[in-house]
Amino acid sequence: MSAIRSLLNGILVAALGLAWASAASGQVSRAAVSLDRFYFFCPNAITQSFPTTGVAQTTWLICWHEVAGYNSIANPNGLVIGPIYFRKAPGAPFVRVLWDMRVSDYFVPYHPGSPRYYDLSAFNFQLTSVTSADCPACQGGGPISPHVCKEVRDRGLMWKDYGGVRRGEELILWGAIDADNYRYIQEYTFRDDGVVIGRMGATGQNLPGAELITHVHNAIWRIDIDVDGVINSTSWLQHVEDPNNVAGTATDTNTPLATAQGLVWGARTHDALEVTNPAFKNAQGHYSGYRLMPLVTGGGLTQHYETFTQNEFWITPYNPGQFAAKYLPTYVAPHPSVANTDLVLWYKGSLHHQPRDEDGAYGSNGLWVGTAHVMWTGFMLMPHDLFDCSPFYKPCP
Amino acid sequence: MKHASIPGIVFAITSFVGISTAAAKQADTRQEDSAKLKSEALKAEDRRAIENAVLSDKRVRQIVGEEKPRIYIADPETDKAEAEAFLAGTSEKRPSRRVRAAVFNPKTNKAARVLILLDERRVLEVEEIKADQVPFSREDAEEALALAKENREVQHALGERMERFCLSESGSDARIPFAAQALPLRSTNPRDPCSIDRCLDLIFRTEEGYLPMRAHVDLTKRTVTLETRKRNEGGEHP
Repeated sequence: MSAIRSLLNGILVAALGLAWASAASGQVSRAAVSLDRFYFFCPNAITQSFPTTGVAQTTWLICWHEVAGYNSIANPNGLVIGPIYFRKAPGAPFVRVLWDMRVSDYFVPYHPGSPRYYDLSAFNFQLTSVTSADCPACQGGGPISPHVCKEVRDRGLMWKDYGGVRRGEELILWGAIDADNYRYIQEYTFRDDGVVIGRMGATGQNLPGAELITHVHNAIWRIDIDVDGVINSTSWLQHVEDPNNVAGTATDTNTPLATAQGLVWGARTHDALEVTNPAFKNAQGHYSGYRLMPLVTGGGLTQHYETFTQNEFWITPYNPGQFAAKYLPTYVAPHPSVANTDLVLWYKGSLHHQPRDEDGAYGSNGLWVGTAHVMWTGFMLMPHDLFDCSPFYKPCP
Repeated sequence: MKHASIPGIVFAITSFVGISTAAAKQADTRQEDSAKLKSEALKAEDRRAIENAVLSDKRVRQIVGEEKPRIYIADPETDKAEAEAFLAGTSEKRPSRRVRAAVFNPKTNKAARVLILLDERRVLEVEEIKADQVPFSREDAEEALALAKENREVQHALGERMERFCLSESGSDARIPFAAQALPLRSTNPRDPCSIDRCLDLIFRTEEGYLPMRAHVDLTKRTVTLETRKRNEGGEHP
């Protein structure tokens, strides 16, 4: 009898071991990803849990690759992120956040009207090399390929209240496009709280022969977002408030978008795009989503003669043949539906570069000496009702 | 009870070790399999096969002409629906890879866009496009540099060292003491030929830095203009 009991005990322990091994090697989520297959599909996979010490609360599963072809209109070169999955708690499933995120183009018009450069789509510019000097280990970094740096680091305060304080952490992947005299840093941040940030950093030598001419560096990102799968819908969010209203009231509007279109960002109304999945709710019964919002630094977002630059946001249905920002007006022209479908978001950020003496100066031989320090602009994808409450705040139920 | 559970624990440990060994073997297999997929970039043989498929396609020749065109091949992309099914475990089929290429004949100024199923090396779609929808390549830059070197103003600006300037490759760590680099150019001004033509700016870098000039090359009209540093131009830093 005792032998049978001990055998049963053994089977139970073995079953637990099997379950553990299965969970560690092939967990399947609602968005249905087999980890074994994910690693097979994506040899450059990164698994990053937060906090980096102690018990893990959240985990990112990130696929990245480098594109270095000869047709950046069809498949833009550079650092490409995706697919990526996020696990909001140790026992929760991995949820897909996006399929493919990258810069579609850099458009650089100069104030006199010419030149107007397409610094990614029109030529086979590629990522330049990085070394430990770019991402030193003492800063939590290290090259993970000849062209890509990974950094895991403290990100400052996560929260602070009467009961205490907590600092946050983040993982950053970045590479830099070698566009002759300029370098465009392509940086993607994955935070412990589920936030994703994309940024462009522009640095390098001012344009030869036009070193003192003001210009704008526009980056247009293509974000193939998949919130827990491909069936997504999007809404336009605005804060509406009349400054002449003595009552001081304000409202938030949420306007579902039915067809592909471009949208101008309004700073006063905190415009943002929200993407949700009709089958995806948190434990509180709220639709879980991600919100795309600008991270404007350096003052603003410019518009130019070219129609594709006249909106900050664009939304299109997924089409594997559509990667070129400059053709966005033609992509949306037939007004295809974007409700309950696989959709792609596009965002334009701008850097207004008015040359300054800090950029450099002409030497006695007439050559330009100096380099423009990095300027940044970008966007944030922020989870909204993805968590039931924050796992990083202990009193949360 | 304590003694009775020992065989169970031994069994559990044995089972777990077995499972762990199997998992380790699986991981090894995974690494080997992954190595096969590691490089998304095209191999030389893939590139040749794509070029052959494109060049032998009658529809392509009808659009761009019979002369050997330039072919601009993008890196491969996996089919999203197939990749999703594979990742979800609902399909055993490895996702197929597709490649898009632009084909351009500089003599006829005609161009086509081609979609190729990489694994079968088969052309799926062919579509005529405008020449301005074709990206630039090193061939274009070489042609631009050759045209620039024939221009008197450029010859004067570069002086005796002109012949030493050669194209540098984006992303390359190679040290080139006299580097020429190409910047693709478009214009919105209808009076500017570069609103239609294929145009490149060339910039020149020595060990001391960039020369304050650009050679503006219209590849379609085969003309070269030298742009030098101008003062009091609109938008200039005061």
